Parts: sequence; C-alpha cells; structure tokens
Amino acid sequence: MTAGSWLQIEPAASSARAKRTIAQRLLATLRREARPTGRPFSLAGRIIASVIVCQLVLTAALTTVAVLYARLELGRGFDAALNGWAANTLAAVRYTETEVPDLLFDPSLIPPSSNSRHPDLFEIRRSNGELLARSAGPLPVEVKEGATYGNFVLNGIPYRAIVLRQVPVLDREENISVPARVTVIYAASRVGLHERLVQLGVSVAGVGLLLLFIVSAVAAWRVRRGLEPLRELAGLAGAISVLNWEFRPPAEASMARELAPLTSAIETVLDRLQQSFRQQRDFTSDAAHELKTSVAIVKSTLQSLLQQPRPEHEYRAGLESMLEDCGRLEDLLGRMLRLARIEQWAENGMNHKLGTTEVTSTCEAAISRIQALAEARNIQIELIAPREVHLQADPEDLEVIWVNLLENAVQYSPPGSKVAIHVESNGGGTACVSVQDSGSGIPEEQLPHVFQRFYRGDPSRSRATGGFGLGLAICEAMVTAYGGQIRAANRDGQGTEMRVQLPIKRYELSSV
Amino acid sequence: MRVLVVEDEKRLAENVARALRENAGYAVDVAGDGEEGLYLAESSNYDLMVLDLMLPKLDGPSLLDRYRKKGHATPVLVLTARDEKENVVRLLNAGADDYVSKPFDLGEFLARAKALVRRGKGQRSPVLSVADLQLNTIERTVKRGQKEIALVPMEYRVLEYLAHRPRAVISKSELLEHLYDYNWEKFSNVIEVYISGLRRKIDSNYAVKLIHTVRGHGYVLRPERERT
Repeated sequence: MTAGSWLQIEPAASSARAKRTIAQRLLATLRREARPTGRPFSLAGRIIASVIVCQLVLTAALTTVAVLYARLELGRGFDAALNGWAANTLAAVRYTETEVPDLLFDPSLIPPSSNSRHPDLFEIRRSNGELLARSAGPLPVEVKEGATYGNFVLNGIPYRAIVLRQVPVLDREENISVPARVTVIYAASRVGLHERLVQLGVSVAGVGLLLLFIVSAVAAWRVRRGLEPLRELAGLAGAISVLNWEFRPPAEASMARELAPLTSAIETVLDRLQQSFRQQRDFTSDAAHELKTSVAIVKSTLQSLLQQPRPEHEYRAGLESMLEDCGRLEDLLGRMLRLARIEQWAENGMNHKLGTTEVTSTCEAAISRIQALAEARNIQIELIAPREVHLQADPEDLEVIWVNLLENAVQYSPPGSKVAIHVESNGGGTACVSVQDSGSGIPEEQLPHVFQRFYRGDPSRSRATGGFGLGLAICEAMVTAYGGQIRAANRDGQGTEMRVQLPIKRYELSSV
Repeated sequence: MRVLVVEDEKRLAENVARALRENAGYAVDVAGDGEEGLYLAESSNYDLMVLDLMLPKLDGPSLLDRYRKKGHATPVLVLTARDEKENVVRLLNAGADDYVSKPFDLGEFLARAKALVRRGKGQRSPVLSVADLQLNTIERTVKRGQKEIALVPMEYRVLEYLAHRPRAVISKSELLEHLYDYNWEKFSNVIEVYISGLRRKIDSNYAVKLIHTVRGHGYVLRPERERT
C-alpha cells in the first residue's frame, strides 16, 4: 500500500470531478504551481499541510508493514492449524476388528469445521490411491507432487490445503506390525484469515488517522503560536508613519533566528527612509525659508511704497529694486528646479542619449560665463588643460558643474587673486577636473557639509554675493548622476580645492 | 524712540527701517550681521531691537542669548521665516518678546513694534495721557483738552519720549540718544530748541504747565500742581 493509494482513499466522486479531495487540496497547497497568479496562501497552512502529509505517509507505511507482518505470522499459524486439523481427521481413520484389519473411516470423530460458513474439505486416500473418505464434495485440486501446501479457489472462496502423504494409521490395536498408510488432504477457507488481516489493517490505520487528527490540531495551534512574533512584527511595522518612526522589535522577534534577518532588514530600510525623509523635509524647510525671505523683501518694498504718497523717483527706485529681487527669486527657483531634475535623472537613469564631449571646451564656456563676476572681483581665472579629454556627457551638464564650482571659488577668493581650473585624464577611464581658489580655505569641521543644500559655511559672504548655498549641492547631484565623485579639500593654507572625477564612459545602467 | 534693526538682507532692512522712520517716527540703526548687531545693541540704549534669525557671523538666537545674559531689558521683535511651533517656543523662551514670520505684513510689523515699545516703557494704552494732554501714538496726534496741537516731527518725538515715562526726569543726553540714530551729529542745544517749541504749543495758553526743567538734570512731563 503506498501513500498515493491512501491519499486517494476517497476518490473524487463521479458527480464532482472539480471537487477535489482533501488530500489533493493539501498536495496542491504544497505544490507551488497551484497558485498560478499570486493567489494568497498561508505559511501556517503550508507547514500544517506538510505535517499532515508526513503523518499520512507514516500511517500508510505503518499499516502496510503491520499487515504484511501479520499476514506472514497469521499464515504460519494457519498452516500449523491446518496441520492439526489434518491430523485430527486422520484420527478418524481406524482399523476394523476383523481378522484382516481393514481401514475404516468414522465420520463421528471428525472435529468441527474451522469455519462455519465455509466448511472445511478433506480427502483420505489409501496408499494405492483409492479413496477412503472425503467431505461433502470433491476437492478440485490435484495437489502437486511433493508440495505440502497449496491454494485453490472453490466457488469464489479461497482455500488453503495441506497434504499429509503416506502417513501411518495408528490405532489401539497392537497386533498390527506394519501400519497402513494413507494420504490426507485437508483444506480450510482462508476467508477468516483475510477478514482478520483487514480488521488489523483498519484498526492500525484508524489509530494512525486519529493520531493524524490530533497531531494536526496540535501543529496548527503550535504554528499559529509560533508565528505570533511575525504577526507582532507586522503590526509594529504597520504602525510606522512619517509621524512615528519608532520601531522596537519585540524581544521574541529579534531572538528568533528566522526573523532576525527580517527585523534587521526592516530596521535598515527604516533608517534609510527616515534619513531621506528628514533630508527631504530639511530641504523643503530650507527652501521655504529662502523663498519666504525673498517674498518678504518684495512684499515689504511694496507695502513701504504704498504707505504714503511718494515722489515719482521713489516709486521708480522701488520698482527697480523689486525687479532685481524678482530676478534673485527666479535664480533661486531655477536652482531648486535644476537640483530636483538632476535627482530625478539619477533615480531613473539618464534617459537622454549622451554623445562625446570635449571637457576643456566646456570649461572655457563656463569661464566665459563667470568672467563678468570674476572681473568685478578682480580675479583672474586660469585654465590648465595639457591635452584634450573626451567624456561621454552632455556639454551643458558639464558646464553647469564648472560654472557652479568657479562661481564658488571666485566668491571665496580675495580680490586680486587667482582661480585655477585643471583638466586631466588619469588614463584609467576617469577624467579629473579640479578648481583651486586662493581663499582662506574651509574650516575642517565644515568640509563634510559643503555639499549640503542651503549650507553656508560663512553666510555673510555667500549671502552678500547672492548665493543660496545650492551651487555645490547642484554640482554634487550632477556629478553623482554621472557616476562620478566630488571632494572638497584644503590646500595647506592656500585655499580650497574642489576635485571632480567623472568616468569617461558612462555605463548604461538605465538599459539594464 | 530708537530702534536697532539687525537684518542681513539689505533690502529688507531698508524697508523695515524706512517704515519705522516714516510711520512711527523712530530713529533707526541698521546692523548687517550678528556681531555688528550685538556691538551696537550693547553700546547704545535702544527702545526696541528687530532681530533676524539667520545672520552672518553671529546668528540671531546666539545674539539674543548673549544680549539677555548681560541683563539688557530692551524688547526684542524677531523676524523669522521658520514659524514652526517649536521654533517659536524656543525663541520666546530665549528672551524674545514677540515675532513676526516672513513674509510679514508691514502694518502688522509696525503695530507689534509699537506695542513692544509701549510695553517696554510700562505703558498699556496707545493713547498716552498726562493731565489733559493726550498723545495718540498710532495716529501721532496730540491734543490738549479738546484742542488738536500741530507739532513738527522732532517735537512730537521729544514729547512722545517724555510721555512714555511721565513724572520721570529725563536728561538731555538720554533724549539725544533715543531720538537720533548714529548717523547724526548730536548737539544738545537742539533739544532745548524743541523743548521751547513744545512749551510754546502745549503750555503757554494753559494755567497748568506740563513740561518742566529740572536744572542740571533734564526735563520732566507732569502736571504743575504736583510740584511742592
């Protein structure tokens, strides 16, 4: 008996093929293909199904072994009993009291049949093969020469027969020197044997199934209890929102070896999310601060003009200053939008096709754009580019980086000094551009922050020159979007160096 | 009254200063960064400080902290672009008296500024009265009894300063300090000119004199009958 046949113990009734049996359903749960398009399933269900299937296999195996063993043992016992019944039948053969003793069969001595429904059959033959006695009907079998036992079916009833060959007939008579020999064939129905085997099988299987039921119930309960930390974890994770970042995994969840990776993953993701959320919020708040200040200036100018009648030249001056302030506001908005756009690129992968650009020419373009500011501050910009460096990039993007770096350098250099921009390629697939100023340098503690948005190391100077603390943030975002790096360093009291490294060939990450 | 505006956005500082001068008749000094602001605040007596929070060199909260720790009682009105609750609470707890958030309404700003000046002098009502003299600080008008009295701006400012602290003797140098910003050359005889002008317009036709000279000390505004 195999697990399969057990599982189909209740075959799908002809009426409802669609109605699958419990076992089939269990198997289906176990097999993944049973959920074609993301049907929800239960982990606990799977575990319990596994337990049930194991238990079923166990029960089936136990039953099979028990039945096989019992058949063997019962068969042996049956054969022994058969032997006994044959001997008893032999005992019914006696000698006559005549001069020459003859063999006589006394039916009254026959023991009762082993099975009342299917009476035993027997046949006794003299040594010369002549029939001495037999039961109601003839035995249908020719018992094979040499075999002691044999099976046959009579009228659909299975029988087992024993043949006792040439056994001596012993009797009370002492004067018989050479006892006569007869052959006894005795057959008994095996129906009783079968019934007992079936009974055994059914009881073993029944106990097995009962156990299965109990074990499944216990397993279901235990699994449910065991998955409790998972549910708790889910509840905690579900309670997290932008207002509440707190996630304290329960001790049980962090101790469970299976849950530890999940717990730590949630913690990591939360940390990252919270950090980026905080950055975003800081950015919004800083942006709002900048915008509010700019709007406050325009508004106060307007209100101040309206407070009392003024001569025409005052109105004109007011309007001119407002126009100037609007330009500043526009510049701020432009920078913020640019920053947002670059970040979007970086997130989605740059989707515009990139040609090859010569770096030095973009530096020249940037210098020409910054020239007016540099001249106003009497600062000389020097371009040092020993050879051409080609880069896979949009020339305008590169120009944005250089303009912002140069603007920053020019603002932080004392009048009359020099700002240098170096272009080189290290031959290893990286282009390197550095901008050096001759300012007082950046205090060491501020170096890590210079690329933060709206960060002003010394607000007085950047404010005074119209900066918002966005230039370097734009540079960093752009360089990062190109897969490069930007670093700020002090040059031993000779000013600051901003070093940009860009990969010459941009890997098409977006196409992956 | 003399006000110090500490604000690094030049245009905003100009607008605020202009409004205070034109609308309230205050003398206004402007500081472009925190260090200058603190220096000015400590070197002169102001009746009000208008303080921005984001300042170069020394930021607003630090300035406020240092200023208050030295025991200065001048009211401080903060200009802030960050009006989140925690920020406001921190500011007030650090010794600020009031705040307006950017972008603010100039009218509201002026009203708050005037209210702070009043409170700084121990006055509650915007209409100051000494005997039958009434001085409306909002409309900047002066009445004695039912009669409106027209004053030139400087006369009004002298009277307003005296009226904020009636019965107190106020020296000429104090008047000079509070009526002129630091761009003015200060001559004490200017005060005498305005005082005599005020006497002529306020006291000459009335039996009860209000403006009195305390020789060697200064001036006092009070009804004559209190004099012993």
